[in-house]
Amino acid sequence: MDGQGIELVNVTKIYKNAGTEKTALKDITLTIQPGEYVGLMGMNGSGKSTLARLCNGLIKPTRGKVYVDGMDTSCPENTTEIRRLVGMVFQNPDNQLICPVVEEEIAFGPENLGLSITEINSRIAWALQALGLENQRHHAPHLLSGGQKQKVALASVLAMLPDYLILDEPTSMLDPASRWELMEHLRALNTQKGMTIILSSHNPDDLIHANRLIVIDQGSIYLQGTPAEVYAQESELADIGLEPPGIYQLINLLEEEHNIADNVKSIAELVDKICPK
Amino acid sequence: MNGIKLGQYVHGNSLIHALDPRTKIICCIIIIMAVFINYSWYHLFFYVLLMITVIKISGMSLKFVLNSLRNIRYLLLVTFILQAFLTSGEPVLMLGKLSITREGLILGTTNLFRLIILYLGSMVLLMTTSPIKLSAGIESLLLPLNKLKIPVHNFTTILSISFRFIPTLIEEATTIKNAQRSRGAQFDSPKIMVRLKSYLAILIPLFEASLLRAEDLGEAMDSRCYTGHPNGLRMSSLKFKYKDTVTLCFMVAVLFAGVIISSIS
Amino acid sequence: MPKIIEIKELDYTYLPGSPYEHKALKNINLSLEQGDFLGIFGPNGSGKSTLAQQLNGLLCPNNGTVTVCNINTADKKLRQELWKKVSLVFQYPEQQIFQITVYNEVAYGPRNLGISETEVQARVYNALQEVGLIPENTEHLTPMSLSGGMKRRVAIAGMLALKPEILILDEPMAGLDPLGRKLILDIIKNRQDKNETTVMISHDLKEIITVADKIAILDRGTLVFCGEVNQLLENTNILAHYRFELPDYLQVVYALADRELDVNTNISSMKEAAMEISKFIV
Repeated sequence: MDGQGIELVNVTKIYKNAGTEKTALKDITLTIQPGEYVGLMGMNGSGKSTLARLCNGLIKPTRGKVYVDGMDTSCPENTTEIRRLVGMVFQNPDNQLICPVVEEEIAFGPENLGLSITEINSRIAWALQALGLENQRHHAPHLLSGGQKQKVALASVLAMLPDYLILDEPTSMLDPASRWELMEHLRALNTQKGMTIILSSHNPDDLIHANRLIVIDQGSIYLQGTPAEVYAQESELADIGLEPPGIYQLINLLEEEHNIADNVKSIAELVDKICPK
Repeated sequence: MNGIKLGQYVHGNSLIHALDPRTKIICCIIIIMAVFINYSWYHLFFYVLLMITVIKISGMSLKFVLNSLRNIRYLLLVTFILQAFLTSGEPVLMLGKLSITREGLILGTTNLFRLIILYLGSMVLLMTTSPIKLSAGIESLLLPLNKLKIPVHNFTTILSISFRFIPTLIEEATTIKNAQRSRGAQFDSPKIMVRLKSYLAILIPLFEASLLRAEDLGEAMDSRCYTGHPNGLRMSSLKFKYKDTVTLCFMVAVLFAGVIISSIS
Repeated sequence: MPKIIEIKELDYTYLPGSPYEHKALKNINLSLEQGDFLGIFGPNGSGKSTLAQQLNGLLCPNNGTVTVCNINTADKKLRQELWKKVSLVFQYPEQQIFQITVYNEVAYGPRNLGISETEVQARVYNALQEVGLIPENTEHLTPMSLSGGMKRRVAIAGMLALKPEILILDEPMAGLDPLGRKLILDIIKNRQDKNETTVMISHDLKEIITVADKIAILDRGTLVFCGEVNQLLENTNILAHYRFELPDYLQVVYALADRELDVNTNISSMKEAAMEISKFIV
C-alpha cells in the first residue's frame, strides 16, 4: 500500500439542529498511517462516530480539513475515489444490506464504480471466498444470522478494493462467536493484506488486535498510544467511564508489586511469563 | 417445496426460470388482457390448463400452488356471492327480496376463474423470477417513461429495497407485538377500539424503525458510491433469446386466436 | 421456601408438523426461589428467549409443566394475565417505544393494569428514578428524540413500573457502553436487595457470572447445567467446554493450574486472583 494515510487537520464538527448547536469534535489533529490498525475508544456521544464518518467524506468538517491520500474530502470531485479508497461498515447489520440476494449486495459497490461484468463477477467470487460466504451466495439477507449479515456488509465493502477500512461499532449487535470471527477476519486483512483499519468500539475486547489506541472524550483526543500504554492509565480511563480489557486490568494489579508487564498482551502470554513451558 | 414462503423466488433451472423477466412480465400482461377481453368458458378453461402446464414446466409443486389458493378464498367467495346476487336476470333462488340469478351464477363462476388465472399467473412470475431480475425487467420496460422525465430507476430501486425488507418488517412486527403484549396490550380484545389502539403500538414503532433504517441505508449506499443514476449493467445483462421470442409469439398468437374465435361465435 | 418458578420436563416445538418444525426446548427442569437472580446463558439459537417467553405466558409448553408465581401456564385464561406479575424486557426494548412523552410511555403498562391515575403517576416517577432519570426533567421529553442509552432506560422504566414479581431481561446490555451496563447491574442489585426475583439472559457468561445466584446454561434446547456459580466452577466437564467464556482472571488461574502450579482455583474476584497469582511470580 503506498497511500499517504488519512489526515485530520484542526478539524471541528458542529451539528446545528433546530436552533441548538452541538460540538461533536473540537479541533482534532490526527494522522493515520497506511497499514495501521487503530482502535477508537470512547463512550457513546464522545464523537467517535463523527470521527469515523469524517474519514470517508460522509460528513464534512465545519472547520479544518480531512485528507485521504492527499485528497481533500470537501471537494466534490474527490468523493467517488475517496469512498472507494475508504470502505465503511456500520453498526446495524440489517440496515446496510439493500439487495434481496447476497451476491447482488456484493455487486452493488463495483456496479456503482462502473466496472465490467467479468470484473464484478471475479470480485464477488473473491469476496465471498475471503469471508467464507460461498454457501450464502444466493441467500436472502433475512435468512442470515447477525454475524453473517455483518460479514456480507464487509464483503460488499471489500469488493471495492479499498485501502482503508473504517468500522463503526461493527460488533455491538453480534454474539461473542460472531464477534470473534469478524475480529479474526480484520486481523488477517491488516496483517496479510496491509489494509489500514480504524475500528471504533466501546468494548475493549474488540480492540485487542489494534496496534494504536485513540481514546476520544467529549470531542477531543483524551489519550493516545499503544494498547499497553493506554491501558496502563486505568484511573484516567475510569474517569471517563471506560475500562481496559480484563487481562490488562489483571496485569495492572500485578504490576503494583511485580515487574511483569513487558510485552504481555494476552492471557497466554501472561501465563507463559509466570510459568514458562 | 418445504420451507418456501408463498410468492418467494425459488431458484431453479427450468425453461420458465430461464426466460427473460421482461418476457414473463409481458406474458402476464397478455394473460390479463386475454381474460378480460374474452371470458367464454372454453377460453378460461384453456388458460387454466396453460397455467397448470407452465407450473409443471417450472418445476414447482402444483399441489403447493393450488393449496395456496386458500389465501384468497375470501376474495373468491365474496366475488362469487356478489356476482350471484347482483346480476339481473332469470332468478334461480329467492332469499327474501334478494335473488340469485342464473346469469349471476355463470358470471360469478367466470369471475372466479379469471381471478384464479390471474393469481396463478402472478405466482409463476414471482416464484420463477429473482427479485433483482424482476426489478431490472420492470425498469427496462418502463425506460421509455424516462422521456417524460419520470425517474424510472429511482422507482424501481424503491420497489426493490421495499421488497427486500418485507420479511424483516414482518419479523420486527412480531417481536414488537409480543413486547407490547407483555405490557398489557390487548390484541384479542372483543372491543374494536381497544384492538385498534393496540395495533397502533405496533405500527408506530415499525414506522419509527423504518425511518431510522432509511437513514442508515442512505449512509451505507452513499459509502459505496451510489449516485442515484441508473447503471446500465443489470439491464444490459437482460437479453432476449430465441426462447423468449418463441414464447412471446405464442402468447400473442393465443391472444389473437381467442379474439378471432369469439368474434366468430 | 416456595419456588417462584417451577419448570418440569418442559418441551417446546415451534410450528409442529410443518416444514418449519423446530424443537426449541427439550426436557427442561429448573426451579427458582423468590429473590434469586438467575442468569441464563447460551449461544444464539440455544432456546434462551423461548424459555423466557414460557415464563411470562407468551408461550405454553407442548409437554411438561411451567408454574410461575403459583400459576400453571397450561391454563390459557390465567396465562394471559401472567404479564401482570412477570415482566419480560425484550432485546433492544427501545424499539417498542411509541408514545409522545416519556411519561405516557412509562405509564402505558401501568395504565393497562387498570390502577388509579394517582397510583400510575407514583409508579412512573419511581420507575424513572430507578433507571437514573429525574422525573420532573424527563417526563415531558419526546422519547424518539433521546439518545439510544436514554431510550433504553425509558423502555426499562416502562417495565419496572409494572412492579413485577419477576423481572426477566433478555440481553439487556446489548449495545450499551460501560456506563449503561453498570446501570443495568445496579437495577438488578437493587432488586436482589429487596428480595425481588430477576432473570437475565445473556450470551456473555462474563456478564452474569459475577452477579448471579444461579446459572442455567442452554445448548441447542437442552439444559446443560443448572446450579450455583461455585458449582459451575467445580464442574470440570462444563468448565472445559466454556472455558473461554470465563472472565480473563479466572482463565489465567485455570491455565496456571493446568501447568501443575499449586494455585487455589477457588477465586471469586479479580483482586483475589491477583493476590493468588502474585505468589507464583518470581
